[in-house]
Amino acid sequence: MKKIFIIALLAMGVSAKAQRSYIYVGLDVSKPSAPDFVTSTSSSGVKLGYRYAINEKFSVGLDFNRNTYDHYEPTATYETTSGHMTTDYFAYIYSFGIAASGQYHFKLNNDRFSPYAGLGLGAVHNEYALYYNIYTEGDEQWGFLARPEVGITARMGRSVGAFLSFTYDYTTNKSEYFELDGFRTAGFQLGLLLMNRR
Amino acid sequence: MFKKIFILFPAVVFVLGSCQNEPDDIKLYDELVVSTQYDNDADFSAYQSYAIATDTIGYVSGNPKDTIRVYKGDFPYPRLVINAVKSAIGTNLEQKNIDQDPDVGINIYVVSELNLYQQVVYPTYGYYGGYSGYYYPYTLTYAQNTATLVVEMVDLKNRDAQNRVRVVWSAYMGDVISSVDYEKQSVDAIAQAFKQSSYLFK
Repeated sequence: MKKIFIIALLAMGVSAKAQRSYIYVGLDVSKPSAPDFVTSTSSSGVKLGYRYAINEKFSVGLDFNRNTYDHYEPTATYETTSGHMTTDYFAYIYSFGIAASGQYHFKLNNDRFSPYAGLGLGAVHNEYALYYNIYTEGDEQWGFLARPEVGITARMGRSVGAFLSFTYDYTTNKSEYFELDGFRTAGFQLGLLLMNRR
Repeated sequence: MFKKIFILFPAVVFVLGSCQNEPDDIKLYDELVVSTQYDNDADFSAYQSYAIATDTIGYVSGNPKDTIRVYKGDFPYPRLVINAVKSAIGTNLEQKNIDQDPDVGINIYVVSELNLYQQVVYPTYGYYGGYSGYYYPYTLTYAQNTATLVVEMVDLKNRDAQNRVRVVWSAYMGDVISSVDYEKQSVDAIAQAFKQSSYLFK
């Protein structure tokens, strides 16, 4: 297994001199496309992580993200098993994701900018909550995460840079309690990165 | 330095995660949740008259010696909610005194320091003992500091062999304690309870 890994790295043209890495933190703005349990754009999410450049073309990394999505449903009357219930309510999804990712960097004449496309695979923990008056109902589930991503990094100094990325999160999170199946979000991230150049 | 910052990253995520956004309290508490249940076996069209207490409602708490709330000049709540029920019933049923053999009795009570929510979701329709007046249940179940306004319709026409009466309709309205304006919201909630129970007066 170790040999295969070394061979794979050699095949990608690993060069010790080319090694560099960076950590990043940014605002994560995303909107769920499914389910309709929540509808609002999460504008206060955060995404941060670590990227390690294997060579000029490939990098790998570890990404964390945290987002809150919500929805307000105005007062309505619902039929229950033995009567009716009237209330308004707030629905929330508190989402935390972790993914191992890989990126392919496109070569530009300008070495200040580095556009890339990548894919992250990992897991998402969703906490579902329904608030109405003093009452709360909740559920929480883990799910598989697949996250295609495109973006660009820009070096602004020797060790500091910025990035902009666009992601689509496909997750398998389900909630039997709320009868929700699947969770998808699309968003963009904007932030700073701190490079560790060698 | 670089590694130290990176090691701190997951901690930062979890710290951010602990700062969970929650709904605005004012928006949450400006209306009572109104939940109503009915007995499928009840024939509501058979009821022509009702009885309701005057100026007194029940008060269910952990103290069996403290079971009623009576209207006072500085505490109009019992009369407000009783009048709200009478207004909602309107002319659909004739009001009678309890000794005039009404078809149904209307119980109104506030359950304090008891989270009734589980009962709202999983209601059980039990029987009261011999009905000789307005009967308010007593419970020993405790939960958080809440108050739920309950309105019940008790079938006095169809007593069982043990002279027990059956609750055929219930409205649970809460939470009264957290409400922004508990008097107005209680009155509004009672109106809504009857509105969403149109089968009562067909």
